[in-house]
Amino acid sequence: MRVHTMNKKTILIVDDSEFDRNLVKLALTRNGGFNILEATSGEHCLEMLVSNPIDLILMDIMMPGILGSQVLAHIRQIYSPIELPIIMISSVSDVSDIVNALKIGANDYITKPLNFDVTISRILTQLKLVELSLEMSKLKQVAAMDLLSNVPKDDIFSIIDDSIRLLGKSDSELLQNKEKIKNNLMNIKLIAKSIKSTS
Amino acid sequence: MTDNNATKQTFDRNLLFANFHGIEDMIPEIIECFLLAIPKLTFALEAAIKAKDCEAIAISAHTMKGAVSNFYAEPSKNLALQLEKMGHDKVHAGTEELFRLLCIELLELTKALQDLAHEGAHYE
Repeated sequence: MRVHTMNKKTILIVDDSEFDRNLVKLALTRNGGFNILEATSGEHCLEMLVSNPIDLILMDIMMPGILGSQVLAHIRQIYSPIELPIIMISSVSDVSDIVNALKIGANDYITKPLNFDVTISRILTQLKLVELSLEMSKLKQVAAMDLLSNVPKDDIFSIIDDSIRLLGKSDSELLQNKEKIKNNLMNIKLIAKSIKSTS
Repeated sequence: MTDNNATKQTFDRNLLFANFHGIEDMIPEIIECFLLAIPKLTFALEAAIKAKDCEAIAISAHTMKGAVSNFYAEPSKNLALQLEKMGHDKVHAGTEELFRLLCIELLELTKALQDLAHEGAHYE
């Protein structure tokens, strides 16, 4: 899981067009608060991903060489949309490309002509979702720990010990205690279920 | 405010200003970026057409289309779109003529944008 503790988020702009990269850079610079990295192709993007901590990728769909959608599919084999949000850039007319990109794991898309406010809003929304998701994971972990610490340990062990003891008895005694063993197993199952629901 | 016919025909000033509402001061900077980029974009398209490389025509025309669309330059955008489609359809015949028309349109567009950039602080 990619967790970057720095406040200043790093955005990777992937576009073969220098003009389009500059345009996005202008939008991001105006807003401030971002480290900006640039990749000029899909191949370049994958290289940069290996050597740089990236918080979000803004990527053109149509590029020479590896298409943006192919790079997206490749990245999604490694990182989930929460671990590494990817916003695709496309022309308004390329509806099928946009739909395809969303299907294969793009978090969102923006269209050309770029609107700076929309671009920034969508970036901030995705970064906020990542933050909230990380918070949620932490809360779930805390809740699971809480539950474990609240279950009386003696109770769990005595139920398990009792079951093991009963299972060691003769067939006739085992039959007599069938209900008790069943109840013990049900109690263990309930505890396990509660832990699972918080993890 | 520029209100000549050339500006009206080559790009939509109203839509451009609407898109940059509140940050109109950025328009000259964006125009400057575009003027620096346009020779490279044109050269890439010309090279693809000369090489009869349909895939490269589609990609470079697509890039051109995206660049001019930032200024709501419909005539240039439509010509670039036609070239992009021809590239996708692997049709090379007629691309030179379309490219010639696109160059004329781009010349008009760059002139109009230069005028707009020179207006600078007079944006409303």
